Amino acid sequence: MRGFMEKSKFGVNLLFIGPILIIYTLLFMYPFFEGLYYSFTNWNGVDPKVNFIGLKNYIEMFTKDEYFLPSLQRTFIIAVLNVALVNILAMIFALALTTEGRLNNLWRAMVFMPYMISMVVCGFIWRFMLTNIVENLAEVTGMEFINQSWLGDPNIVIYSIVMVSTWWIAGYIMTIYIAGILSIDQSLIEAGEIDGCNTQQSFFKIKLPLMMPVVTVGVFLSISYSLKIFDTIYSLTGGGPGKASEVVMLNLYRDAFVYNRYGYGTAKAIVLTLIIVIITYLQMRMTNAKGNTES
Amino acid sequence: MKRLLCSLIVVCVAASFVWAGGQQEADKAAEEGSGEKAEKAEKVTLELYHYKDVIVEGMNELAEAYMAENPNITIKNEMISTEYNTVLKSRDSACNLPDIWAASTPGEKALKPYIESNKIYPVNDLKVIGQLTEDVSSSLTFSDGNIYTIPFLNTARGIIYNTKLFKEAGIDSFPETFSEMEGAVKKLKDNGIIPFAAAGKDGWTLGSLVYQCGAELYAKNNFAERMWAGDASHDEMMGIFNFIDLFKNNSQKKPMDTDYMGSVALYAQEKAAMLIQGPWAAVAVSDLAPEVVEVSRMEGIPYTEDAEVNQLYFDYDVFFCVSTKEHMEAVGDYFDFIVNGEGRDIFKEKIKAINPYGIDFEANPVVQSIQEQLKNNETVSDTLYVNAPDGWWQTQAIVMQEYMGGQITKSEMMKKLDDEWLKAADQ
Amino acid sequence: MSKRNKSTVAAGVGMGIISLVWFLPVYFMLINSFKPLKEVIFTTAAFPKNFYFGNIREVWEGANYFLLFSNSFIITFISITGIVLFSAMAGYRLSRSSGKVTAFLLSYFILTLIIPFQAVMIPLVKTMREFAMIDSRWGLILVYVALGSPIAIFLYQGYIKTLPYALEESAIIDGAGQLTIFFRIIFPLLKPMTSTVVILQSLYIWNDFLLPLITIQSDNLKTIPLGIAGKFFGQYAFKWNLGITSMLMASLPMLILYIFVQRFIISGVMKGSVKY
Repeated sequence: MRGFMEKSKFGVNLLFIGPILIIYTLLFMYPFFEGLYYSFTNWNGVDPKVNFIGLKNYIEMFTKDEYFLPSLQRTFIIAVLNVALVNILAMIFALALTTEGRLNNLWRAMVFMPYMISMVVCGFIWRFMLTNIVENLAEVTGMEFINQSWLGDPNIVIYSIVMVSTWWIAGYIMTIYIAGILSIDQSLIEAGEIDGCNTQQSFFKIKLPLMMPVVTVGVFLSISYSLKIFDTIYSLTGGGPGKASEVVMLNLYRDAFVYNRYGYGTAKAIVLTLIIVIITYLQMRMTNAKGNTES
Repeated sequence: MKRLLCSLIVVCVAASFVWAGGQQEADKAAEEGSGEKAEKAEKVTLELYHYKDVIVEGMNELAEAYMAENPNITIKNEMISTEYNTVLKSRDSACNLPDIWAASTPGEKALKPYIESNKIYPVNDLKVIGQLTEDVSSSLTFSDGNIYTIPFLNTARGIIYNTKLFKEAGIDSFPETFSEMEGAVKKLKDNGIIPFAAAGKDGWTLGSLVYQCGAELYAKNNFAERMWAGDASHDEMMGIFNFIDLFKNNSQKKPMDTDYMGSVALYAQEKAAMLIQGPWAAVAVSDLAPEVVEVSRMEGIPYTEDAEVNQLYFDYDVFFCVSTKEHMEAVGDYFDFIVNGEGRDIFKEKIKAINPYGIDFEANPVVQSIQEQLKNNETVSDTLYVNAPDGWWQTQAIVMQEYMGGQITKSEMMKKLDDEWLKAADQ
Repeated sequence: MSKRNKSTVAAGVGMGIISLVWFLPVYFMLINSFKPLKEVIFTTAAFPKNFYFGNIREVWEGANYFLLFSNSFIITFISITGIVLFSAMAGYRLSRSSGKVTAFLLSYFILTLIIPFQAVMIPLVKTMREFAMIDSRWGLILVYVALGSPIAIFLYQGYIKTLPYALEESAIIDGAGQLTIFFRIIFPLLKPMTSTVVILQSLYIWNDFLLPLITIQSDNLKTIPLGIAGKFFGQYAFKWNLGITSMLMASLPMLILYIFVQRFIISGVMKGSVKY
């Protein structure tokens, strides 16, 4: 292949890529760097005067802020549970739905449906259900387990959030995994069966390794999504009860928009971004390496 | 077929471009068109923000009626319940506060920043302000001699209770002391009724409990002033936990999962006998079960042993600040219309809330019981709350949720309240 | 052979149960839209006694649904057109090049998935204000193109890599210019991926709440999520019947779109994301 800057191609590349590059840089990267600058100030979002305060924001969030570190911890817990649950379920569903069942298309549609609903609406629907319907439902079905204090018990609310966000995104990840399964060469699977391996071995020794690239994508998407959840939690609990479900996004939202500390809020957003970068980078390295060795 | 599809898409794209462009031109034309009329009568738009869901229809009708009489004036009402203060703050930071907005804490301390940066203006000269009684206007006057809020609606806070359920449980009259309340609670429970319908999910319902129970303690010894000076502590108010614990231990099974409407539903279905709210809740109940409102009354929370102290808490409900100097006259005219003009009838029919302008209306039994107690001077009026830090009700709400959910102890809760007040003092 | 049938049936039954449970929340949203307030509050889980259409009428008028819908439609449609166009073009060139600059550009674009919108939000609003893009449909469209293209560039780039270079080669020999090659030869072949991009990014833009929230102030420019959520934090917070109905009406367009295009999703995702 040719190099990007090759003279003959440069003009064309400029024409084809230039516009989007400009728009993207102007409307995303430039604000990001501006935000980075503001994270070193105590700007309140309005004042034309901006005071540079160096690393004070970053120091404060880790030493003096009594709510930030707990919110960070909560974010991690939710992310770990979410990523695990979403990917495992998505994989199971994908395997089940790539068999020859007749109604598979219908099931696929129903599992994917939540993703079509906006995250805010998703939070509201579940809030409505978990506060108004569960008692009734538990009576009718006799399953007392349903009648928990899903959103009121500070110890359970984290799991409720995981449940809701899994419901939302599992269908989407499942679709990616279905695509991955369908693109595996059938002959490899058949060869395995002829050699006498059962479903379990077929999965772990043949299918999974071949799907590693897709798994990488699925895990990457679910990690970056889980660490950034905002809309759903906002409408589901608003951070409550008390602060029991306040994740980093909610925490910095309050700082920036309720307490008018835009500089401080942006600094927290930068920290979160760094965390996401590090985690996804490590994840990519790990799953890519796995894919390479297994193949 | 493909070509047809392609041309269809191109046509759609073109059409939407034209439409989008056309819309903007139409908007511009409207502005220019009105610009000409502006020479004749100045075109004024007033934005009015508030947080009370029960008066939305009434406010819209008032606006429409006024606009019919004054076609050059447009009034845009906006009701925001959750995050009212956040929305207001973002309008504030965009230097674009609504012309008329309800202040969630219309006290001097909370409004000081607005006054100092000239974001709200004195309303002393408005006609309706001149109509207020001495008592009311002196309570509204700040230390600089000016009045910055137009009082609109008052309310009371206390316990709305179902007299029918009380009678069925063998309680003849509403408890006047705390020990009587304990007895009543027991009788209700024995009769299979949930004493209190709690709305733990909506923190604001809990926050108001704190300062209602604390009213007497708050009013004593200049609590607010001493807190600002760093000379007091919420430990002095431990007494409020008597009632708060009674409430906590005698509500429905999952109080922290029930929101405001859920608690209203419990009360409307006569599963619970008491709702600690204000008359707005009675309106919500009447949407669901008007017959229950008929047998409901309201009394003050009996949180001490002294019946004199346990009175109904009378409060501001919607007090407006004005952020437009230019159109102050129009604002004054609008309120004049509401209080003295044709708006008065609409107020009577639709708004139906206690107000400082003597506008009578057909009241439901709950409001009637409030008015009666007002007449007989059996109410306690807010003295502390208005002097608390800005957004104090939200702080109280979060802290109460943590306490009710068992996450913190009493002393931890008090310490948090102290810390938050100090933080506000530092800023 | 019989083993396959047994496990297929088991999988089918299992997925059937799971899918029904999965559908429950949507089911409750559906049935409660057709009940009056009292029924919604008192008998939330029950099937409606009679089908009550008053909620839909009230939300349509009260929330000015048609206006919200038109705004959402215009913004989504034009943004998607821009995204598809720019991303396919960029993806095409990036897939036919290699080297450090290409790699850099790809990583540069992927930042949009990593950097949370909140980090960019406030300075973005400031920038938009400087360019008079606030409170305008065009402002939103440009931002959506900026935010929605990177992922599409990735998908297109991966997909085009699977197309044999021979097609372009013969066209170049015939003396065709780059633009002709792209639009006449390459673009038509991108249909599956274009469908995927259209669906995914339409979902994102149609349901986006935060960006319109902080940039749109005029009532006549509001999009569906903004208009609905506005009502939701306002009047509908206490009128659950209207709240639920408004949520249904906000979600319906996307649900309908899905029914029409669902078969393209799998094939599109397959061809784009697997061949990295």
